[in-house]
Amino acid sequence: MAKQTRDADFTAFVAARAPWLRKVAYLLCGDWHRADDLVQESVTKLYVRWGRISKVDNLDGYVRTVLVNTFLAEQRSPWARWSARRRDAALPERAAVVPDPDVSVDLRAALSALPSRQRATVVLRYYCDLTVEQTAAAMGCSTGNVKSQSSRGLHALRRLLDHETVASAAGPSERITS
Amino acid sequence: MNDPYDGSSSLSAAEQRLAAELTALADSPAPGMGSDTAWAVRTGRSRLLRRRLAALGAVTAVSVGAATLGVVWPEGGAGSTVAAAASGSGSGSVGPRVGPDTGHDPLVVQATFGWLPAGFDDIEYDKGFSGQPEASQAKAIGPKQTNTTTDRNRQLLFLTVHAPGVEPPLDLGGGLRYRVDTTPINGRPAYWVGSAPGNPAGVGDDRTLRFKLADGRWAELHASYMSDADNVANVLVQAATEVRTEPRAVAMPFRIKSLPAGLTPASASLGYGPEAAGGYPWTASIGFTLNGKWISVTAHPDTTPAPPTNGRVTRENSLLASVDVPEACKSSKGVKLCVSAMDGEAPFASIGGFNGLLDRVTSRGTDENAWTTEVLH
Repeated sequence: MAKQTRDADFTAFVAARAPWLRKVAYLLCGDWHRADDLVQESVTKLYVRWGRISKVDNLDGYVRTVLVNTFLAEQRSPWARWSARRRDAALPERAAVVPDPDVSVDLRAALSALPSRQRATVVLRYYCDLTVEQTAAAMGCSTGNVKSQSSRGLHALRRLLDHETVASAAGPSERITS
Repeated sequence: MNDPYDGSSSLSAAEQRLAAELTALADSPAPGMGSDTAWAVRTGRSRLLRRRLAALGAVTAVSVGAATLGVVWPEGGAGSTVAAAASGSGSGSVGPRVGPDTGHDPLVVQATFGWLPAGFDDIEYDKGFSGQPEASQAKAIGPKQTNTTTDRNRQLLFLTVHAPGVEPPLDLGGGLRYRVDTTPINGRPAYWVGSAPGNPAGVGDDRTLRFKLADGRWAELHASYMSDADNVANVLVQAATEVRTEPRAVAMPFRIKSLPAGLTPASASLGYGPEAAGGYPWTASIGFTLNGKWISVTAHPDTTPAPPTNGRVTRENSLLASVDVPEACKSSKGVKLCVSAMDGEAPFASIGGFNGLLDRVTSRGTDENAWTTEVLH
């Protein structure tokens, strides 16, 4: 009975949060299919720890941290690099699943050009709306590291996007510049 | 003036715009969701079972291991990160066996570790990564990072050698760093890549030490997830002092005879130790291209990999494993050998498909003394 309750709670949580997790994963990796892989892996890890963490105050934050660290760990794994190379070679058409050529593809391409930790920092800070301290906790690094990664990430995005003409009421010159 | 990256300050207009664009990107149309909660439950249960079984086995292992370590631990104690741990091969390097470049080994690295701190037991050699066919790297994986509340990451040391005549840049992409000169290494110039003038520390828990080699090339040691609590500065200096800088071919656990025409080696790697090899004692691979298509030969012991630690993703526990990668495999002398390609077998019909290549692969067994640097013929 306890296992059934556990599984029911877990399934309900994942059903509610998977779409949101998938979006975060997509921003991290730039590929919906791989985002599904990351979400699947993260919720599997969540299940393993569910007995201990299901009652924590910030379960969303916990699973988001698992997701980010899964993403970063895969960047360091030789198997992930091996697989990514082949996926890149085999499935270039996947960019087509994002149909908005004005904004989404440009930003997606720029994000994908960032080193993985910079990308994770940008996503956590500006999509997940985390503070520097929260981002540092999620990534297991110092606040100084987060500030630096944010700064470098924003500068790199600005550089990558500066030459673009982006449909925008505010105009392209205001993109990520301050 | 507000620090724009300070969590206490509100977002600037530009940052708000970035946030909005990220939201728009995340909300863009997507294919149907591919994750499977029921699968997660089944796999999660399986991992729980494996973990419990592993814990039972560890009780015995720890008892025996502690007694052994009490005898052989280097001076400096079990917690020291600067205790000498060099236990390498006859070549003087730490880690898997290496030898002279034979011209027949696709995994030749420009430098190897001659010394590593205690606990850095896993080594990974890579060649041809990040889209750079000639780039090579040695990576050492150590204990869990300290000085953090999360302890998810392993301490890492990366060793690279820059090409002759290349002055490595201080702009590492997105941010200017600063040359902070330090005591010469083996009598030659050395400097830290600092985060500020006069500050040798890198960003966060990263440190980079560059040092000139006898032949004029620059070498670089980079530490990740290491802090002053890990004595990172002294570790890097000592490791740099004892780096072996002659090109070394890494012995591989298989040979490939009569390599088909057109098949070009494009990458190679050897992971040594469970943290570097996805839970196996070791894993090796060579990637080839044929008319622009990738095909890979991989090898690892034909055993069940150890459970992952600290969330490290392995081939077996990664969802990447659920990707249907076409492959053909065989087992020989305790080694599982596979040929695989994401594009499937069809592009490789001219070499006899997967089995055409697999038939040319000969296992050298699990005894590292039988491994070879005469890999391709």
